[in-house]
Formats: sequence, C-alpha cells, structure tokens
Amino acid sequence: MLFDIFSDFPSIQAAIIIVQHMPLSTTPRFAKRLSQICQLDVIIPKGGEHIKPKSLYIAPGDTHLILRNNEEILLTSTEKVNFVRPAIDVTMLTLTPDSRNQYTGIILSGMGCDGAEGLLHMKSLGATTVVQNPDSCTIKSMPEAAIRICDVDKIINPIEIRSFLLNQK
Amino acid sequence: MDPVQGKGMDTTISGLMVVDDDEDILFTVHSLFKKRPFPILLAHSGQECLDYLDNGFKGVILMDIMMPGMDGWDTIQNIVNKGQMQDLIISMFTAKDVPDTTLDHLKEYVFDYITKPFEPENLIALVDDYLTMLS
Repeated sequence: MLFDIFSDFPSIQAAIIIVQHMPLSTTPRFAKRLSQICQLDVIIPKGGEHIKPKSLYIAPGDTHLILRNNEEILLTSTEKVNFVRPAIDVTMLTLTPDSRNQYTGIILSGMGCDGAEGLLHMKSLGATTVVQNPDSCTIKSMPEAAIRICDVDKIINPIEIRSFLLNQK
Repeated sequence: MDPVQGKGMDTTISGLMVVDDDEDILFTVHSLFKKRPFPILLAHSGQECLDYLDNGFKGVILMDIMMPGMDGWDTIQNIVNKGQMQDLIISMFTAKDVPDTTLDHLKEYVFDYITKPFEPENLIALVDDYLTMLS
C-alpha cells in the first residue's frame, strides 16, 4: 500500500510521518525501500530531530514517536497502546494547536482501531482528515474505526491519497 | 512442482516461503516465481513452516491465516517465541472481510495482508518489494 502511494513520489514541501506497525528489525529495510522509490529524504529518527520539509520520517519499530511543540521528534518506549508500539494514536495525540502549520491525518488499511482517536484529535485541531476507503482495503477495521468516531473530510482510494499528498504545499 | 527442499537450502540468500493448506495456492505461487534465482519453499502447514525456519530459512513468508491445526496466527506466535523474526517479512493471505484477530499483540509482526484471490502481477510486485527490503 505505502509502496504504491510513494512509488516515484517527488520531493514536496510537506514533511510526512509514517507510523507503520512493524517489528524493529523491519524498520531499516522499510526505510531503505522507500528511499529507493521516492525523492523524499527518508529518515528513521533517533530522537531530537526537528521536523524539516521534504522529509519522510518513519517511526521505528517497538518505539512510540511523539512530537514536542509540533516540531521536535521524541521517541519513547512506554507501554503499548492499542496493543502496538509504535501506535498512531500516540503520535497524533501529541499534536497541539498551531497557527503556523497545516496538518493532515491519514488512516490507511489495517487491523484494529489504532489511529481513530488520534484522527479525531487532529480534526479538533483543524487538520484535514483522510481515511482510505474501506472498500479498497484488505483489512478495513482501522479505517472503519476512524470513520465511526470522526466526521472525516475525505474517504478515498490509495491513488487519490497519492494525488492528495502531491498537492500538499 | 519442484520446490527447493528445506534441508540443504541456501541460507545465505533470502527466499520465498508460501504457507497454505490449499494445494492450488501453493502451485500458483510456485508457478509465478519458479524461474527466479531465490529459494522457494512450499509449506502445507504451520508446522512445516516452522521446520523450514529451523533449517535456516530467511526471507519473505506468505502465510494463510486459516489453516487446520496450527493456523497462521499460531504459527507467527511460535516464530516470535523462538526469536526467528529477525530476517523475515511476513505477509498474510486473507479472504475478503476477514475479522480482526483476537491475538492483538501479533498484529505488528505482519507487514501486509494480501486478499485471495490475488492478481499475479500485484503479488509479484509485492514480493519483489519485500525481497528488495531484505537484500
């Protein structure tokens, strides 16, 4: 799914954070493959990085990625949330009101309910909220959970998600 | 079919293992990749998958969820318990609208899910991506 979205993806001004449920050993391999197929600067943060444009940050396996002041990445190994670490909710829920930046939250195919609460929080901050159309998902429970509790702005297929991201400033 | 057997396989390169009790799926996937220069293992059960891993298999595993006896989730639990996840990428075959697992703690070990029936070209592209990740 993510390979489809980011294949031949050009450099864009926005920064992107990917929270994918995966073991720690998979993270560098996943990052390597993404760096091969897209022109964004793919980064596995170590903690303390300030978010910069044209970059794609990948939450390391077995670690939650949180944001301080919406601009600094911190890592934590606190308890799993929604049975997973990294958890999407943990990352999204650390965002705070910010008049300087525009946010978009996206929930893709996946099992469970991770990301639903986080997306609702992002909606309350004025973010654009996007969910993959459950009909296009192999596993649809995560998108469905998000749609259930959040009045999302867009419910679209992966190819449209790609186009949407390409149009982000 | 003439898949590489577990014993004596080349464990220095990443291969592809298909775990499914459906002979048609094993045959189809093997046909798609049989000319590729990497080991292809066909496991008819979770136990056979574990045996291949004990013999040193590393690479991509395409695993059916629904199998008699040890199902896909049970098999992943065993792999995790034995500390054998390090050099693996596991993707699960599922039917459309498969319910969530009750084994929530195992979800993070599944990199992706593939709906059956699958489009051959999509499966080839996915496996190529996974093998590139492991190379």
